[in-house]
Amino acid sequence: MSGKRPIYLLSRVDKPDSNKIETYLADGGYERARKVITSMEPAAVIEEVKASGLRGRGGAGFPTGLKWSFMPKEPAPGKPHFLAVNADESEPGTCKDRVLMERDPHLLLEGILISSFAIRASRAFIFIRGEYTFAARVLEEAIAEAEKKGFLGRKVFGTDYSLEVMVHRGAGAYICGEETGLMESLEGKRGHPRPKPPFPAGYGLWGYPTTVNNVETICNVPFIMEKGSDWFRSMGTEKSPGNVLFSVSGCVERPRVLERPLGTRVSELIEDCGGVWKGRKLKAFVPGGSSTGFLPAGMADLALDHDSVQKAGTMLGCGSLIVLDDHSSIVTAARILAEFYEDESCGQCSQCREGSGWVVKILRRIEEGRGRTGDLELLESLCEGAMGKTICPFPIAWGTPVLTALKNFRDEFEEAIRSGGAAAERETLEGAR
Amino acid sequence: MAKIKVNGREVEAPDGANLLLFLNDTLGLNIPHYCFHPALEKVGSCRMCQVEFVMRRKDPDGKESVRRVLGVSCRETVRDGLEVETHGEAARRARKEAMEFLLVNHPLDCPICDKAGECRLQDYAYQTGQLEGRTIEPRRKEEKLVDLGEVILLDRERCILCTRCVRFFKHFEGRAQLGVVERGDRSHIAAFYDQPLTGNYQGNLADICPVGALTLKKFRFKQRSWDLTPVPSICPLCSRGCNIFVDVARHGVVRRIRPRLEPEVNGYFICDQGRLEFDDLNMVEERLRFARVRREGRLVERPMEEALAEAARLVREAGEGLLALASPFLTVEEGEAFLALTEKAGFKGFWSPPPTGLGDRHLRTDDPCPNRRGLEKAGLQAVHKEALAAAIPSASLVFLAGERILRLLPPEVLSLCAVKHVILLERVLGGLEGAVQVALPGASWAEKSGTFVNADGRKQRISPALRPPGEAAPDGRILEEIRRLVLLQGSGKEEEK
Repeated sequence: MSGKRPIYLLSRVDKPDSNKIETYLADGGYERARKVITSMEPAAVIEEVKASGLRGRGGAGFPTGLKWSFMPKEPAPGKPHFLAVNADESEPGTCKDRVLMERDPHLLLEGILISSFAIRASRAFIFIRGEYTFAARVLEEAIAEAEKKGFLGRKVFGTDYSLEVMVHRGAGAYICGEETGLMESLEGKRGHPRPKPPFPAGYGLWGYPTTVNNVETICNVPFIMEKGSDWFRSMGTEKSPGNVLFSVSGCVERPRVLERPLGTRVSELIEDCGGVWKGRKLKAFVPGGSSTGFLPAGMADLALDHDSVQKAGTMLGCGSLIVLDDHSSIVTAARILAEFYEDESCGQCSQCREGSGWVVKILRRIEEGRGRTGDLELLESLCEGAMGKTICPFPIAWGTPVLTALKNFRDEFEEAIRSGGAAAERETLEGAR
Repeated sequence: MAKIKVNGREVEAPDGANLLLFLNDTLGLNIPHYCFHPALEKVGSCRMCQVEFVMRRKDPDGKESVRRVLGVSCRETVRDGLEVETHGEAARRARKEAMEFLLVNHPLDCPICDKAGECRLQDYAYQTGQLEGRTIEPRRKEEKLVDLGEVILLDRERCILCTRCVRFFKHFEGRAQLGVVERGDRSHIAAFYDQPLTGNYQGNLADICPVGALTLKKFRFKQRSWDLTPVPSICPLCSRGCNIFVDVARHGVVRRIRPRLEPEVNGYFICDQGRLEFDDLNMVEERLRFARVRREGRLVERPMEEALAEAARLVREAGEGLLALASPFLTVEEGEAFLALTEKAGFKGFWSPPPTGLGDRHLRTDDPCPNRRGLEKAGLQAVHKEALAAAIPSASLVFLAGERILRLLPPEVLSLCAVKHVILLERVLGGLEGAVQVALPGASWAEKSGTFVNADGRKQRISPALRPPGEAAPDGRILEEIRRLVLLQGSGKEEEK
């Protein structure tokens, strides 16, 4: 990590035994939570987070404080509040929450304590993706340590506030990272997203008011409470303040997770990862995880904050930059992503279930040299026919890569149809998956 | 009532009503839908009922902004101020797109599909879809013959995964038996642990399945649906009186019985016995087609008039010695005719079979009499085994009238009858050949009209779906005719005196 830039999220991860409560306490751990819970009103916590302008780091970038304020002010009798921590991290190209959970679990727990206190949750569930067996174990050990110290469980810090934290391992489905799919899965059902409304803040887990927040979002909270919203706003951009974790993968010399302020340019990130590998040139990049689509090298000075990326026609997502060099085939890359999404569609809605598979079949044909005139227009109309017309936004996740690939690299698809297949080396996103 | 706007027109709609039902049933808009079923939980997953919701908002400066949002109508409830466009460009296109996706992998085997003709996929494909497909990809191959137990077969290729079947067991029966396994375009319906389905309501799957994925074994390859004439009637197998359609083929064969919507009685469903036990309606060989009269010790076929006259003579001569027993399958009108005819009988009533034990908490009741309350109201008394067994030996003539009476009477009672003179009004001779003096060919419940009164006292009409064979006739007509002859013969005697 560069010493010049202020970093806080990853400030502890490289220390020895960073996952142990002793080292965390030595670094002043749990003092922020203690201060908040013993001396503050929940409403004041929400106000502070609102003032900080913190936006969700899970993909949609929704203002966190605002989300919290949708929860009922006080739990109604017999209606407990829940916090669900989204640690599913299922978007291809993303690996940032894993670093936090494996290396600094107590930071997450402290964030959970403050967040749960703010929304008056009596239970917090960490929904962690099934493949993260190690992170799940680290978290469970950390919870046990914190409970022993009286930081979790009944009467936190000797106050009347009680919080139980549980780790729930997912069974390996992308769609369980969608907040309502996550809740269904957590309840023990198939991970089928629920129609909204009702929204989780009104009708969430088992019908109780629930807030779903991403791991990284929650890890920001202790720092905001410690250093204040003004400090937080000193980093990043006006509308997207704070630092964010970028997972950089694909054709770079040193793929890694970087903490940078929001608004950092793509080219800087690539530079910080040692540049495009093998001395090759940048051809395309995926700005924020596989569902955000392919942007051309010409846009490499794009600032990665919510609004700038939105202006470029896609989303910041969860800050997962995937780099493609000039040897990669966009046709192949699009096919690989489409295959991933075909596999992961939950199968509930007609357009998504059938469309995700149809798109793959067409892309495969084009890649293998059996493309036909009209295929590209058909692909576009299929994506448009499914995007935004289903229960959850999943079709947008598989439609965007296809549409952006067609928009920005149309000549490559046309060439593949004309000359019989994707010409470039099949060396592409495989490494990022 | 709430004021809502549909396609620019203001209409009144009941507050809280389901929007899709209101649009279709009240306004007749015919918005397509697959996953929605009024009796099941709403999931909004087929996306076929998309309409445009028009949201108007007054900005602080007084300007009005309009936002149009596509959404499913099946999950929306009617409330004041709701504004929808059902047939605008966007809504129409969204439905057309959803339809196209559903058809990408559909096998289009309508020519061999039992559902063809009453298939919603077929109907809406004509209505909203494009006639030419845009796909050249190979269609998904799935199992086409999955045995789901005694009643239902599953064709996974035809399935559009609306999950009505899954929700039917979960919400109507309260016990899930089917589920969706796998995900994405590999999703398919399967029974848990591949166990056969159980319960008395499996047949309803074939009705609620909007396509030809779940079909009745009994109906398989039997008839094209457009060759069937649905006749509204009432199921006679228990005292619930479920409303049904008897589906008759052109050549007078009952092919299928299915529920007819009646919210007060059975809703959308019927039980499997009511649905499947109709073979005796189509019986040919065993059926009495012509009247028979005992002549020189032998039962011989004679014209109806002769048999009726003989029966009238026997009834008149027996006087108080007559023991008259009606079947619980008689209609109210037939019960009245039976009572009038057996005015002088020393013992009369309708046979009341013991409870079947087949009742459940859904539709089926324990009482196998379809018209107990109706017959009681007509003035007939329910007769049980002991009273009947005690009365038969002293009777000089036994008159058994009505469908299934021979099948319903216990063997002990029948053997008591076997040594008596018997007039039989039935569809079969079954077992009493030695005792029968006159056998009159009656009709089944599907061959006559009349009234049944169900356990809740609700009067319901049955109507004829079939014509009785030969000289067979509805029981009521025969009973009235005998009574006319009794009166005629009586008055003739008087004159002779």
